[in-house]
Amino acid sequence: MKKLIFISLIAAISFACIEEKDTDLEKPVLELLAPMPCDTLFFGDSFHFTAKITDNTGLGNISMDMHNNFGHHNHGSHASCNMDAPKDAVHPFANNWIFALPESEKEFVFDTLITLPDRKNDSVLFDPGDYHFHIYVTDNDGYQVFTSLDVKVLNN
Amino acid sequence: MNVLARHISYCINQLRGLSFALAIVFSMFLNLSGQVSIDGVVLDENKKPYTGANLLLNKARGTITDKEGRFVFKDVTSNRFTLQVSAVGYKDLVVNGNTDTLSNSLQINLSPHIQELEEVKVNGNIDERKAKTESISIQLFEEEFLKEAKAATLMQTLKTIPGINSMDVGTGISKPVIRGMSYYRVVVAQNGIKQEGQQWSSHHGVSIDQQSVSHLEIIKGPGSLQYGSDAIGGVINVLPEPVPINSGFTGEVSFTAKSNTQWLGSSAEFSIRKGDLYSNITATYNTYGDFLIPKTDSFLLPAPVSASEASHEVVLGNQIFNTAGREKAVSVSTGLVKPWGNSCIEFNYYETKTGFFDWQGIQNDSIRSWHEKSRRDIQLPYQHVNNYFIQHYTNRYFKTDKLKFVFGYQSNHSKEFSLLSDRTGNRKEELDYYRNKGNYELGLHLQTLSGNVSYSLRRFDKHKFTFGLNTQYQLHKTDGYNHILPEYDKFSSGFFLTYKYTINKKWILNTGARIDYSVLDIQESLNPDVAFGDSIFNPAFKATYPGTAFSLGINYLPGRNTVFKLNIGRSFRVPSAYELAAYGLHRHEGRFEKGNTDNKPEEAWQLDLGIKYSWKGLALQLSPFLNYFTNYLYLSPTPELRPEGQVYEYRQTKAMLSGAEASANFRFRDRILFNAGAEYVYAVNLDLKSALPFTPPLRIQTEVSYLFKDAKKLKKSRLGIELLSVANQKFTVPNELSTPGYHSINLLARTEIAFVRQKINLMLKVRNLLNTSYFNHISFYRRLRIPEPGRDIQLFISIPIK
Repeated sequence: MKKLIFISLIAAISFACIEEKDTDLEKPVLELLAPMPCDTLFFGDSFHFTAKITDNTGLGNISMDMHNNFGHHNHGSHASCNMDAPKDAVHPFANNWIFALPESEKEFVFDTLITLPDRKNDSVLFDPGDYHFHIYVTDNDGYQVFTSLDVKVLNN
Repeated sequence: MNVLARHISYCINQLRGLSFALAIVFSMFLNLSGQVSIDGVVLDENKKPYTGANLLLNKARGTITDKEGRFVFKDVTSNRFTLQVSAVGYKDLVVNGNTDTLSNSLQINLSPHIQELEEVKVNGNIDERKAKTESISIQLFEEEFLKEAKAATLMQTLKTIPGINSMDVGTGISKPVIRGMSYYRVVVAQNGIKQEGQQWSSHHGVSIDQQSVSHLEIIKGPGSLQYGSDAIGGVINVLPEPVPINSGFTGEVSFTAKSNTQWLGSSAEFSIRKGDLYSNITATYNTYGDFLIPKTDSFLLPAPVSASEASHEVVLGNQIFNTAGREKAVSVSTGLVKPWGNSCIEFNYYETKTGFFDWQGIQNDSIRSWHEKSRRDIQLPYQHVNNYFIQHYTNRYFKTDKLKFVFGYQSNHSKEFSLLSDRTGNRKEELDYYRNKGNYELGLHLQTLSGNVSYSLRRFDKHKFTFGLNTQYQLHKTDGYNHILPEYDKFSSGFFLTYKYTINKKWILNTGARIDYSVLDIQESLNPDVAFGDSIFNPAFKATYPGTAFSLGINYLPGRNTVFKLNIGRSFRVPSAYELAAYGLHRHEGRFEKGNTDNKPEEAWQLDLGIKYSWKGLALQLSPFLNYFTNYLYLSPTPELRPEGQVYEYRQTKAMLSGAEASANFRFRDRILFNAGAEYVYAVNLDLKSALPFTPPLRIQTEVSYLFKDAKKLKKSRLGIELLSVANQKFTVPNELSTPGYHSINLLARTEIAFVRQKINLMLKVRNLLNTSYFNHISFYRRLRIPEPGRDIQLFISIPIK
């Protein structure tokens, strides 16, 4: 019985030596290269979405979520752009793009060409104005970071 | 009469709780006896036989004296017994004794009822002995403890016990955590029947009205033998309302008011006993407003861990909008007490409506202004739970043996309401339908039928066997606009045998084994929107899960003051339908959760030690534990992102959870009371060499109380101060925030006022006296970076009525 206690205590102590990780070093780092904050995009046009992502182990996914900011909401970190006056959304544009990043890369420049549709349907245009991108990146351990980007989207 | 009865039970409880040492001395006399009878006569002050006195043996068996004032209990098993005697016009009596030293019939002399009462000396009780002779950590908590510790929910009340924590969502929703384990690893039971709700969700509390709970037992560590699969981490078993010892009508009305949440609550409890029959009814209503955090000029809510929709930044102030709630409960029980045993039917109804912090709405000026108008408004998102529980139990004594039946039916209907939206426009009809139902997002309806039968064989001096069968059938239906858990039905059955061998006065052996079998049948669920996401959410799935558990424990009692316990066992746990087949956005957590039908039953090796030393007014206790899981189930983040949020998936890993609880209680000259308790859990994912999610940090709790001498009008007065010190938690999983440590001070003052012939119990508590801003690592709002509530002044009034 004493042996059993002894063994388990040893086990407990040795397990206790597992180091606590510094979560800040584990998280991926996301640097947006294009578009830049306060840039103007156009419905019906294409643009390059470019970001540099680094991580200590490897990468996961990137997700870009686009939605209107007609109500002037806030996601934490924003550049101060000139915004239109607040307004109600009638035909707002919203979309989401998700891509896999190379799992084995520790540093990667992600680049994709995104084309915005030119109108909602034959008769209706999308609401022009202030839009947000939500950009999420995960690494291969499941750590997630998030940033946002303010742009203006106008009709051609 | 009732006042006196309460008074006596108060004294008993005081003595039980506080002079633990005394109790232990007497509980040293172990059960070595066979069957005996306890008989006697009840006499009045003129030594004349008293007819119709009520007697209650060991809180379970009842009888009434005959025309000669005589009574008899045949086939009594335990050698130590407690006999409660009550007779109209006379003082209630409690007779404690030991059948080993009982040579003659008992003669019980009643003395006439007078207002002032001497304290009845109690020399130990049966429950303390249980704690001492069982090899696992089992503790009983009485009404007095529950009253003094009372917090917003039963689980928050219990977290003052070292080793117990509660995982909270605001004021009204709490889940139990025992030794770092929660969800499906902790069983909450009512009289041995598992409460079944939505244990997978951090947003589903326990549907029990704490006002109707008068005593409960807690197993820290494995309870798998008697409770089955889910009791791998521990058990909280609410025991039935004790049988009223007086004939006649008794009751209590209580009121609660709290400053922080503007909580107003009231509860009424009535009991009636006539001869062998008794009934009890409890009704409770609580309402509370949004909680307040310590004043901050401007508070920003940064991005929580996941989901695009949940990452807005808002100015918060000090009021956490939409965290108000309401709670209603009714419990009715009626039973029969006979010399052969007892039998009871109990019905519980519990309803709660709780708002969740509305980060989305408060960015909209019009919604924000509604919230600002009222502290008690409950807007979207909110939860509404209806829980019904009906059960019947019978204890039947056969000579020394005991047969126990418990049958129960429960229905747990949980509804979530959140602002609904349609991503593709393909579900317009459904969207309109559920919007018209108040934005009915998710409906989960779980019905459970349970039956437990056990037989205790106690006719041999040193050998006690208990065997039993537990069966359960569950049917789960879903409703609402969103999907997270498929419909399923599940049957499970288990057979157990436990054996207690009292080798001699110093050594006791406890061992047992259990076999289980369960069948789970999950229905197929299809994606209603073909244009968005997978076409099948859950394929049909059927599986059987056999399992075995065993344990071996030894208790060593070297002297009157010391107990050593060692227990080693292997437990198993069948994965829940959620861990196998979750599929969908867990809205409040802001992530997409996925089960995996390949997940296998968990197996754990569990080692528990217990050391208890008591001497005079001092009691010291240490309970280390080590759990090793070969395949611990946990929710792990994956790299996958979906439009709804990041995907989290149930995975299995080798894991170890180790730690200890320690406590010290000291009573100085019956006036000063010192209690200290500490708990620590170290939980490791051995495959990844990292943490396990949401492990409670080291906690130390110190309390000093002064017990005042009874005055003419004021009795049982007590003044106490408590310091709660919690360490930081930096050992976290990906996306789980580290939490700094904190100190918090609580005050307690209580007294009993004699107001003419009526007694009034008053208790005043101040929680977070210094209005400290701190985070609770395992609270949901920690994830949103919202601190715990600020200072809260709480008043409790209870009035016993005759």
